[in-house]
Amino acid sequence: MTETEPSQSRPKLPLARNLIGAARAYKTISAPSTLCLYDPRFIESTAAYFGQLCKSQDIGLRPVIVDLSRVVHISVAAALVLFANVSRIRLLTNRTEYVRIVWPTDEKVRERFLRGGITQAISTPVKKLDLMLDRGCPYSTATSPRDHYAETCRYAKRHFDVDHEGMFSALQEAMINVGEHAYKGSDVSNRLLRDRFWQLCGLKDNKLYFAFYDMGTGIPYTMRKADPTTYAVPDHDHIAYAMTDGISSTGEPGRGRGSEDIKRPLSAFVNKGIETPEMSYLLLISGCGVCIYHSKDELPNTSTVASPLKGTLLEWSLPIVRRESRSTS
Amino acid sequence: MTDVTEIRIAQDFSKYPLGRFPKHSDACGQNFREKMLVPALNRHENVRVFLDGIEGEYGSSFLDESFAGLVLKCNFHADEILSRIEIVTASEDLKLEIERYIREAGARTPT
Repeated sequence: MTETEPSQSRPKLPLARNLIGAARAYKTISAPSTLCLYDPRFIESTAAYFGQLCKSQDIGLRPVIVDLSRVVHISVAAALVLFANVSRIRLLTNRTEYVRIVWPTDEKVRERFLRGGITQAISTPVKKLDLMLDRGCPYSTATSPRDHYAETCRYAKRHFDVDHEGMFSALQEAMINVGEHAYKGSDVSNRLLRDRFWQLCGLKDNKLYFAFYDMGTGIPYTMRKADPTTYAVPDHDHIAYAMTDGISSTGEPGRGRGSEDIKRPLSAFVNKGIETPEMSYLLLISGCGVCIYHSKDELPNTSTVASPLKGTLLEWSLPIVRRESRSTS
Repeated sequence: MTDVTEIRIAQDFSKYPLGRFPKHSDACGQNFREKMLVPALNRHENVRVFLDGIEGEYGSSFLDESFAGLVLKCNFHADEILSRIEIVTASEDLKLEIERYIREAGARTPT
């Protein structure tokens, strides 16, 4: 078992605070062997694990050991949610050392963690969290799209020369939704966490993937608040409805178009005959609801998880289409 | 001869157009409409808008606020906008999308 301390030096804090910190016992939260938020066999245990991580800070802030020793597989979306949970605790406490990581026992898994960037991501100290894209990390986090969107465009241009038609419209709308909706009615008062989103993009297993996550109130909460008569509607139905073109909790004309943008990458290449709908998916998890789209024009596959996921997660998995194979320029 | 002015978004406005309102980005749809489109429409008979050349893509929030906003917030008629603004882009889908937003705004506005 390898236990790694965060690489940064111990922050200079008042002595009394250091003593209080040292006296506190770390709570160990052990991950299951597979962390995956897409495969129905693992989604429940994965959501439950992230629920534990989230709740660890509910009754007073306390240091935690994130025990990944048994992990043999982590999916793209799960890796992003892990990064978000670890950085959330550090932002809440403003102390990097409040989260210690026990890395996977299996050496090959540790290598995959290293290559995929998750090691770098969850080892990043608090003060460097907003600089991750510039440092070449596929994981990043920000509280506003203002600079982050342009940085993401530049990162994508530098790191993967593949076609991603519709993906940047989708990402823009996801970022904007966070500021507009995700944290409305939330009890998040920490300015470092309010409006924060986490993002992961890159190529893996011959797929182009983007994952995007916020830890706000979630889509079902927002929809129920906008219309309390829908209190009994299942979470996945709220998500599917929110993803319908023209539906917006603002009620203003012309709003609610972003959901079409978010689904558009699924059909960008289908319409040109380059791919088939089965090759792509968009996963949405919010609260207890799970929706998986394979086409922007079809209804999603829906399910429910017992352990709610805090906020909203989106994951696009798209086939890699080299620029030269596009039918139009 | 028709009085036409040209706006190249990537060069004249931003390489990273983003969002609907200034709280989203300085390069938002509202700023593009107020600082570029409306002055151009007030000074010239027709406006040719070149969309290509940006980094990333256009989101619907930016497009809707920019173009449908002319009808919904600046008292232009949809038909007038469709006849006075020429959209130039290699993407026919993008052009159709903007025209749809303008038409939908027109349909929502009492004549």
